[in-house]
Amino acid sequence: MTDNQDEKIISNLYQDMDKTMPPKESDVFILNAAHKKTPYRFAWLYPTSAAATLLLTFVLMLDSPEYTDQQMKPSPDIYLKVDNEHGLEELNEPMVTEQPVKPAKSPAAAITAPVTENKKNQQAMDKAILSEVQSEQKEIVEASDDLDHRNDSFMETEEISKYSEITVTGHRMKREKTLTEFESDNNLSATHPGSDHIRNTHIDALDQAAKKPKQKNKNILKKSSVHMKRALKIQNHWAPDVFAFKETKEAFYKKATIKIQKLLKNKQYWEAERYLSQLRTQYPLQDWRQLQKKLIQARHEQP
Amino acid sequence: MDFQLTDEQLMLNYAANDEQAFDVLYQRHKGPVYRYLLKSCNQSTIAQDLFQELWIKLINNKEKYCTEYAFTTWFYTMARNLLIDWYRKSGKQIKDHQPYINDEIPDNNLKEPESVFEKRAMLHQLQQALEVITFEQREVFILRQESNMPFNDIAKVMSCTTEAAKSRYRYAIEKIKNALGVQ
Repeated sequence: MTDNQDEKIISNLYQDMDKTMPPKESDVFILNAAHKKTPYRFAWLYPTSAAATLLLTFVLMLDSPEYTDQQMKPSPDIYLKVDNEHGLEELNEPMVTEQPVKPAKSPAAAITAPVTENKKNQQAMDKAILSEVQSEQKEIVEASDDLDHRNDSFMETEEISKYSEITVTGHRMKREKTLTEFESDNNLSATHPGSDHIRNTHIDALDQAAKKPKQKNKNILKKSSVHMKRALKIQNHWAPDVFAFKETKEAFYKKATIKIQKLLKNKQYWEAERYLSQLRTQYPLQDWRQLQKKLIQARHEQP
Repeated sequence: MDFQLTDEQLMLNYAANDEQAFDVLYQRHKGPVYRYLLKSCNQSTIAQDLFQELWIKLINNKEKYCTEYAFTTWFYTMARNLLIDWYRKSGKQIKDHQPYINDEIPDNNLKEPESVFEKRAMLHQLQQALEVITFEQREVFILRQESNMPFNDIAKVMSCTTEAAKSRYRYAIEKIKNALGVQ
């Protein structure tokens, strides 16, 4: 037998030996993959459905009671904002806002439950505010002490004194205000960018004046005054309340006198004394002697 | 669909999104490729996975096919690469391979009991002979028998020279012949 014949016999045997075929599952899987049998979808359906979903969510959001409640509710910052029109004594008292009362099941519960809840909420709110204010006070006191120390160094120069008075009073006012009134007002904090700029410009000018001879001091001080004015403008921009308060100093003084007179009329001497002492500590540069005299007179007139 | 078209033409048609061309190709090659994989890895589940993976690879790379190579060369090269990857992933060595033995011997055309008995004995000897030959020799033998590929294409699939493929096949035939007792 030749090799070709042997090969043919063997190949015939091999062909008879095994005719295994792949399972039908594999056939289905592969043919489906080849024909890409995926359900047809309209291409324009996707953007339209997305837009419709967005519109629907927006409409639902507008209609939802939570959204309307959030819009109507005052923000918690309202407790912390300063109201110059009502004087200083009201600043320690947070403004009480009316909260929506939920309908109670029984008439007795309707009387007691909302009141207690409101009180609890207010107390919790007050505590949180107090803790925040105290922490801020500490920081502010430290920063303002540092400021005073620096301000004292340039108080010796006469030329600057008229400007420095403004800044010192401004800083002190700010300090006092931050201690009591503007406790949570971030715009007037010691780390305010306007105050930083003013402080830095003064210190730089004074350092230059100290280094150079006296004849040149005038020019430097003029430059420094220009810097000062610029700085004041900046401060006025960043902290307008301080200077608004300075401009309406007389109006404020009148308000304080009216308040004390009212207290004296109502024979609330102790309240008047306390209010005056508070004003004196808060604004030591102001002249409170007339009010003091009035208070003493009223006490003497007391039966 | 014209079933007289060559594999290369069918593949080009399928690359041009002619899905019926794929059906013809699949019907032509599904059996030989499956048996090649089955006898090379000796596990029907693995062979099925590799078989599906191979056809999916063909579907995904249909545009990459070029007529520089014969379809069978390209196709069986992919199949062999998949096999080698499986061997590497499973940590097995080709030396550990045991040939696939099918106990169900078909006896379609054999009516006489004697001839059936003789045929079964011969096939059993053939299976034993396939165990004797090396993996490379067996691979050449299976590729030659299943796909009827020319030696130069087998050499391309196996990354060897044509002479090496021929000699491996010759050794395989000789060993099987000796095992079967053909003189």
